[in-house]
Amino acid sequence: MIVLRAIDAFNTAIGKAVSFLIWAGIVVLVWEVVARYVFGAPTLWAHGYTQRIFGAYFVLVGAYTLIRGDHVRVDLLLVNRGPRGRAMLDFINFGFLVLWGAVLSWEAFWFFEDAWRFNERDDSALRHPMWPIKLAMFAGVALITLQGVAEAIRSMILIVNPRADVGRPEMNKGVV
Amino acid sequence: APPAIAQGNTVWRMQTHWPTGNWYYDEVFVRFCNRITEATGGELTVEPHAPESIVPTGEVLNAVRRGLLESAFIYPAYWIGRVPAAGHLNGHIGAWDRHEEMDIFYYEMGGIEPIREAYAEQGVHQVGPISYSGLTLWANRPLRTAADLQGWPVRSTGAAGLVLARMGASPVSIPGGELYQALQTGVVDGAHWGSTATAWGMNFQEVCDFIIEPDLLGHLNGEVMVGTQAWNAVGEDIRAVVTEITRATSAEAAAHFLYRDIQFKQRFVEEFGGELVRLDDDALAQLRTASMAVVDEFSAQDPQYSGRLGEMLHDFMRQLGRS
Amino acid sequence: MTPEVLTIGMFGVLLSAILLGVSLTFALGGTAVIFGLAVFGPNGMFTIVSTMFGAMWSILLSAIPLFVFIGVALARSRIANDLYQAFYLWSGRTPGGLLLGTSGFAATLSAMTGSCAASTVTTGLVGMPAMDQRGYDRRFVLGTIGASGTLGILIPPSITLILIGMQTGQSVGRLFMGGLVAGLFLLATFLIYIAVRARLSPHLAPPADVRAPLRERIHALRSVVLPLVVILSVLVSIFAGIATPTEAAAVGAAAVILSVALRGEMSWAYIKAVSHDTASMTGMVIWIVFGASAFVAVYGGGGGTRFMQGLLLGMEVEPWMVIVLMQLITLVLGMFLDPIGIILLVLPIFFPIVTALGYDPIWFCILFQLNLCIGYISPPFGYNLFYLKSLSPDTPITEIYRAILPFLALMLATGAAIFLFPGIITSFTDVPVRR
Ligand code: NA
Ligand code: NA
Repeated sequence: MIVLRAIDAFNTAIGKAVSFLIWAGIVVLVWEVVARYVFGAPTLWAHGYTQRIFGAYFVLVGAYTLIRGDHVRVDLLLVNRGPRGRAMLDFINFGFLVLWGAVLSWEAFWFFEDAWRFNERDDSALRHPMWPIKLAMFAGVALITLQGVAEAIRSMILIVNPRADVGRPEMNKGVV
Repeated sequence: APPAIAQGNTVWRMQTHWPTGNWYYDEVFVRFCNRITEATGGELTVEPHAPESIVPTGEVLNAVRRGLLESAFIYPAYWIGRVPAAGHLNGHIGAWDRHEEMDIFYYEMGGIEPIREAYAEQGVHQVGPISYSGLTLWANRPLRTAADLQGWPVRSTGAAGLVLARMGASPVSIPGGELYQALQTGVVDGAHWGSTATAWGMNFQEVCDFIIEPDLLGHLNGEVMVGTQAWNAVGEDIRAVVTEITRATSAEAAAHFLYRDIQFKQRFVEEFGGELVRLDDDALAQLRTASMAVVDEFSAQDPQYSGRLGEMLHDFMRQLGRS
Repeated sequence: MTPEVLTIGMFGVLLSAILLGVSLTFALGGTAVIFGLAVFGPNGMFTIVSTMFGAMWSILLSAIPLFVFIGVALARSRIANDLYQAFYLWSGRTPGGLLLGTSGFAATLSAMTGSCAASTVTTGLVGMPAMDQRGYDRRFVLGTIGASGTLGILIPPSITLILIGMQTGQSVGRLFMGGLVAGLFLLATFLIYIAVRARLSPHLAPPADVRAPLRERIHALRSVVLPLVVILSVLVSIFAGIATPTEAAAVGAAAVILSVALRGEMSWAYIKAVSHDTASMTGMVIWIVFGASAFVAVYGGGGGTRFMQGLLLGMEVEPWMVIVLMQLITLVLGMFLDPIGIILLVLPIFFPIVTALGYDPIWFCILFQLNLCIGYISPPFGYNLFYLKSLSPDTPITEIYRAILPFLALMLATGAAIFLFPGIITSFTDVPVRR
């Protein structure tokens, strides 16, 4: 249980920190508009860094979204279900995530490794390294998979003992 | 290696970046695949695959390297971040005016060698270029002199963007999906998107007043690539067929695209009230100088391959009296 | 695996998973992995990671978090509430006034963004709390937001219309004009429906009890100024050629923050809350895009796309029936795929047939585009239905279906009207487009 709570805490902290990237994205894009329209001097980097900032943001908020129970589900079967039935459905849900996430993590690692090994740069005039964004991708998919494993374990415990305290405080605010 | 051909039918999936529904998708790309299949009597079957159908365009080189995709009919500029020499395969502003000049650089002067070595390092065999026509510059102001380019906001990227920046223009990056509107509302005052014929598919003719002549780059190249493993797995005779058909297709495609460009430029003037404007000789000379300076930048960053190619290109320009 | 088996298998597993309550994104991604392994083996998994990276790297998706940010930032400040209070006071004794305003707000957002996710989620974030507070019926509210949000891709700017132009060689200018006409037509039917229904059942959308004095109403107008500045900053940036739609979304986000600061509502707690909520809402939308990209890549790579195209080309029926069938297929695909996927899948097949039959190409494209919008809200699986679910997690999905049905009927009727009377579109688009 301590390990599960630690995973929650870790992913929540990462998610909250990453959530501030949106401000960087706003600043970069607004700066580009000002530089181009007011000073007539568009930057070579704004476009490329918008891609990098938002790309990292998209993938790294995945686990946090999961913790907040915001990956939307249809509740046709979820409502009016007892705790054990509910736990079984949750287990299937997280099973799909772990399956997808495990494959993504494995492939994303080699995807990153390739960019690192060949010192890949983007194909725009910017020509900055690609490995950081691909590393962010690996981190994002690995973290959501880790969270998925933690939730799957909790669901398993609940299938066995629906009254167990699995320390899942936020997941139950509303139907996930 | 053991002669894999004895096993009979090999299949190469070949992915392109050309959008389906364009005339050249069928007339050039699919026809190219079918020609190989027919010439080898089906011993090698080349399956044409639409853009993004197996992997996203930007990841094709990586997929071919890893053997997840056997081959591609695609555009070298996508890889300049991994293989800077691919910029030379694509073509540099002010370098080649037409297909034969590219052929001289590539086959007569031996430009193909360093390019193939650079690709081989990626686990990919570079079969050969596929000729397009030129790189057409579209504008909403009549550019005639080098001074007209000062501060000109133009949608550009890659090496062309660096050259235009050296000319004093302001290259802006805008994703393809927002480009039409950016030209319409004036976020940028110009753009390039391949030849006149390819930009036509982007509907630039509706939102631009001018085409600037001559083309920024008179001739540019696509390419055919095959994973080293897949390439080595077929016999020499098959490799020869693929290489020859690539070269023949390249010559044909050059004429195809050039002819279409001529027709589209005519339509631009007659149906869309557009105007063809010419850059003066001084501006062209300055563009060439700026372009070679960018080439030298690439040479400095990648001496092993781009450096050799850069020297060859300087030699080529001298021989043609352009430097 | 034959394409028939692949088609039945993939869609079957996807539907079953969704019905079992698997999150839409995990259902899409997990199904892609299962069938990717079956069709390509482990090598095929590269497709799944590389298409996901393609989505991450697409700058056009940046507009989504930016609009979500605008929605969250307005909703978390007092601006959204004050705006609705002003609507409320000025709509006086008219029932449904806030819903009319909400629908108009969604249409205005649609003129700023090319995405239904952005206009739906942002409208919901801003409008729902204020309407809850004033006793509006949740179902009526959800239906209005879900349906009005589909205008996002119909009213220009619209990435889908630009893509349709590229795929068909039609003038984007004319397509934009047609989209605008169809969008305004649709908006008008929504407004009429809301007004009539609210008049018939005022308890669903209660008006203010007493008419507020003019002084109070004038006073309330002051709170409209800042939201208006936000909206104008985005619209002016786009239409004066100052910024692309993505950049304009950032300008709008900056304008919201400036407004909040000017009202003295800025605090560290506010900044944290806005950032966290935006991240989670964005995660919901974007991870669905990730899942869909994997699903489509495996289905296409396994030959599913070509199979479906073959089926379509094999149809042999009356010309008008062909058009109807095409619309039905688009509707059904709209249940599973995003509009861009549908355009790439079927338009190259449909379009030559349509022109060969002699139909007006722009008219057909607009009808097709309208159907993409309808796909967003057609049960059981439309993206907007899922966005509504996440905006209102306590509402069962069946309630959301019921909420959307009248609006779905209106949209289908609008489609039928455009089908039967092409002049609605062609009289506006049969004009020379170049200046
Ligand atoms: Na729009
Ligand atoms: Na649907």
